[in-house]
Amino acid sequence: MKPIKKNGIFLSCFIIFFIICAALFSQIKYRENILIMLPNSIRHNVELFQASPFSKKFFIVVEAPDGAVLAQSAGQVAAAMQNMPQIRQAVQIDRDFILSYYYNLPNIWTGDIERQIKPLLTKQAIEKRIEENMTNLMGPQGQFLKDFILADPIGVMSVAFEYLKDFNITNGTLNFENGYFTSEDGTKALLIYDTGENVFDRQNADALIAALKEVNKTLPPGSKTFAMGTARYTQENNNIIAKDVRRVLTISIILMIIVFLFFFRQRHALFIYAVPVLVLIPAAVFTYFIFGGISGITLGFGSVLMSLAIDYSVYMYFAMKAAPAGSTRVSVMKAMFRPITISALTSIISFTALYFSSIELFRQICVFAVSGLLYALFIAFCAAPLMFKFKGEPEKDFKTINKNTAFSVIFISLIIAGGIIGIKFLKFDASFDSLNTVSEQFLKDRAVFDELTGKAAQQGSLLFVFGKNKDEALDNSRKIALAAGQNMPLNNILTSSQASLENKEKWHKFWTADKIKRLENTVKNAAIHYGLKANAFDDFFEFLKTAKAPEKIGAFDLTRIYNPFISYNGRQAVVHAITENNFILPQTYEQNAVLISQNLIQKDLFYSIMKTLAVIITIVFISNFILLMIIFRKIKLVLLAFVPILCAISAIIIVCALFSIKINLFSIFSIPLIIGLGVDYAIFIIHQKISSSELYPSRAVAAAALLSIAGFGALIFAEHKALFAIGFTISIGIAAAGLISIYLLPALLKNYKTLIPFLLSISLFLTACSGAKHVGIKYNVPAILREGSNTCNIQDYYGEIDGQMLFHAAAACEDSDTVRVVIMSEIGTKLVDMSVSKYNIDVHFRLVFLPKRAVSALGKFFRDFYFNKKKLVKTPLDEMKILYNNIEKSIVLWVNNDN
Amino acid sequence: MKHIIFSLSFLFIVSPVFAAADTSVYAKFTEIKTIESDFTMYKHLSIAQRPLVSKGKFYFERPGFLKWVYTSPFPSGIILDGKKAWSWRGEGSEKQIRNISSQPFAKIMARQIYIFVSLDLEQIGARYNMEELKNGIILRPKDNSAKQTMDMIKLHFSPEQDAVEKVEMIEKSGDKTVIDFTNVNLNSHIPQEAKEP
Repeated sequence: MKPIKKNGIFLSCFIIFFIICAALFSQIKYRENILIMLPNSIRHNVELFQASPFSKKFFIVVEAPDGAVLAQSAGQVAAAMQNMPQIRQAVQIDRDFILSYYYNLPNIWTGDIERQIKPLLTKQAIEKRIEENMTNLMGPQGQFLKDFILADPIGVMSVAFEYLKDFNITNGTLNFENGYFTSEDGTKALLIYDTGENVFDRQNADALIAALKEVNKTLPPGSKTFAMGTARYTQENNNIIAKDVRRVLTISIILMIIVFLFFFRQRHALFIYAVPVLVLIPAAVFTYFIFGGISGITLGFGSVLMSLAIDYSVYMYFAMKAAPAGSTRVSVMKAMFRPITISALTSIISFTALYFSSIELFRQICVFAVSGLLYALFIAFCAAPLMFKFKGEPEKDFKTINKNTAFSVIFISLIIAGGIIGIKFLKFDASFDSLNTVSEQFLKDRAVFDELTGKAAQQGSLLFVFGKNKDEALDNSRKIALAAGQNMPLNNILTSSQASLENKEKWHKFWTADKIKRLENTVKNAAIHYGLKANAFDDFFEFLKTAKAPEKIGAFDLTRIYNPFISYNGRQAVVHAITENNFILPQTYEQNAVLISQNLIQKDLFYSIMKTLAVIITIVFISNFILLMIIFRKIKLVLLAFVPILCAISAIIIVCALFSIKINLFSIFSIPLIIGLGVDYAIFIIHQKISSSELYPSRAVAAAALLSIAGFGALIFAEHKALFAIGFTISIGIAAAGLISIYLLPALLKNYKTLIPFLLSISLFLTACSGAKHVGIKYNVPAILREGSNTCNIQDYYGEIDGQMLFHAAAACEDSDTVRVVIMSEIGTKLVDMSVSKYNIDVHFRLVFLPKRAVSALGKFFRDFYFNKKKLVKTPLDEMKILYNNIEKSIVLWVNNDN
Repeated sequence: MKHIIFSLSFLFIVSPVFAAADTSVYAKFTEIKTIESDFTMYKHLSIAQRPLVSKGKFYFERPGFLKWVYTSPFPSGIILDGKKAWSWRGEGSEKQIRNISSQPFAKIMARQIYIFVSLDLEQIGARYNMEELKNGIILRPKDNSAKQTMDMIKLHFSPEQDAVEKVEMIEKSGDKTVIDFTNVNLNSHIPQEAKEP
């Protein structure tokens, strides 16, 4: 078979493969969920957050110029929502609900209620109440209040309703009427709906928001409505990502065209234009099938990959163009195989390191990039040579390449020094806001929503209490409230069957036959006095005697207004909104409960990422080092190959520090990519110098770097914070690595002794980095008097340091993630006073004779005790005591079991 | 005769326009700015030995001011003014005033007043079926669910004056409220002190 015919068959197969991939690609749907952006360590907690009743709420805010128009507008919105299949039910507190709650009173009867009821039972109080009832009964409100007056002539209901008030989802800042909440000034309404499990789905979110937009058009002048909640977030993120993908791809293509026109301007080089699409589509399809879905961010990252994918074909293009007369495709391919394959391997290794991340998004990017790069390599060697032509025209290399070694050393040292200094000025943003991107309008709407609800949604924590069933979950809730000494409003309204039995027993003990008889006489006399029949309140007295509601009244069902139960991993959980910021979950219940606050999750997110990053960077460095050692077999060349990377990372740190650009999750994860990508240019330049071949022109590196910047640079135009962070970080890094490789690295290659200052810089750099990650103990930190901290229970512990110093510790929560620990000696002398959190130990006081080593050990022990029990060995001593000791066994602590 | 209605109670203020759907009647009604009258209310309750009788004074002023003053047997009253509502009990130095703006029944009353006073035919038509009587109309709630306690509302109009003279509200339970209005003054000035609790 002739080579031309073989080439034709090969190209035909190549095109058919692409067409199949394109057809599959057209069927891909983006899958967006914040969970794929989170490490596994906090994914569980965020999943719980998402499963909580609050996250399934669909909030609608209606604004109007006055109360009358508001009522009309809110009515229109409510009517429209009734037709939406995604909506489960509106919040309703009506006559039936109030009566069923009242008749549920025996189930929640407590000593506290008894104390409040007693003053209502005096003759004087009863007569006054009956007169009030008659006034109400004869007034215009009589028809509304009649049923309540007959059910409760003495005013017990008002006591019971105080518990329901504690349960106001809006922090008690709003009034409730007509099935929705309204602001005090009557110009804003908040409608709350329950939604289904699939509210995170884009289509459902779109349908709900679209329906609301339609209603908006029909509202009276001056009125408007908007949505808040998960559905709005989902829609906002998806819209922005979809918009970004279009924008980034467009700008990326334009920039690359400019670069191509500047560097190539040859008809047969047009093939390079096709490479990005040829790589992007199969890589996206492959990733989609591996993960069963693909994120829009992964696809956005595809524009970045496009520029990398081009690099190999660009190198091949310049090599064939510069190849001397008599060269064949095979000979050029052989000559280019080594540098291109090494470049590809370093990039692939860098991307592979992302697979060690527990963040699904990074694993998606890893699969996407590795498959794309392998396919790009295949194209560079198998397809590109068939497209390019031999010219026999070596490229004119750049004249401006610096040959001055001293200048290079000083310049590079300055950059690295700047990077080291800049670390101290870096600011990190570990908030969820740094992962989500929303529109300006959303921010304005959220400000209105926050003002309306008193930021109820953002404050406090959620406590998930688990059980085999709802009843057990409720029972555990009650035990936790008792152990923590904290009020959990839900426990006052919902009780387990066991607690209900106990409460009913208290009810019957309180409502004795004598007491009921006396009450009956007083009420009947007063009723007759005002013209009512003697038996008017018989239902009430029957209720007191039997603790049973009349048959016509249904059972109390809190889920009509709020469903606090969720199913999670085959267990039932009751979800409590904890408003106190000093709630600490008692240790003995940690198996059955999880306390989650947004604040704590954010801190966990940050430290989890830092930990993962350290692993990934180490893997990237070591793997690249080993690979380069195998290839170059000279340590000095390998170390020089890392110089552009160090400069690139330093440049990023300097720019971020100078312009106060916050480092977020995605900026951090771009660093391993820069390591892998930056080393490519160094490899190519090193090959150029050691082979002295015309096949490796600096112009090829410049073209490749500029193409990469064109790809990454396009991401800077993305609105989504994640894409922007990737684009910004990598653009700066690649620009720095490219410039250093082309202009300064050749000078260093002349004299390996110049490596000494670099080795010093590297060690300094790494030292600074490791220091930044250290979780330290700070001394002489002023104690902060926190509001409400004195409401938390103080827990006592007893322990021993180094087998000789006995101590007594008193610990109290300062807020949801900080514990204040005061340690005293046997004779009561204060030894240490410190605030311990998961990541910080602030020592407010240390007795001067106590060595810092001991303070450090104590601080770390209590940190582990409260926040990382895995590091402790737990041994039950007897029924009363549990013994803990840390792994080093320098400290032991025994704790009373009831703590 | 032109039937113009002012109304009463927590549930509604109604115009005969709904019975006759006569636009000229509607036009006449919209000219009424204020209403002031005496009333006697009879509550026929199954729990009462005899009808409970109360007397007092009624005020209405557009767009949303409504005041019921009970002079006997219990000095008390209620004021609804747009989104705000107060009730009081006692008189003179013993008068106890309460802000009841956030109470559901006050809100419902205010909303109903808005609907009827503004002659929102669409909303009234959406909630009630209307039947004509001789010198009056009957409104039957369209919502016939178990939650609806009202069976019907009968409005009787005075043949001499453009006003309602009697209202009957009959509940499904059989309980009934009858209100007789006397000494009706239309479009008279309501002094500021009469607008206070």
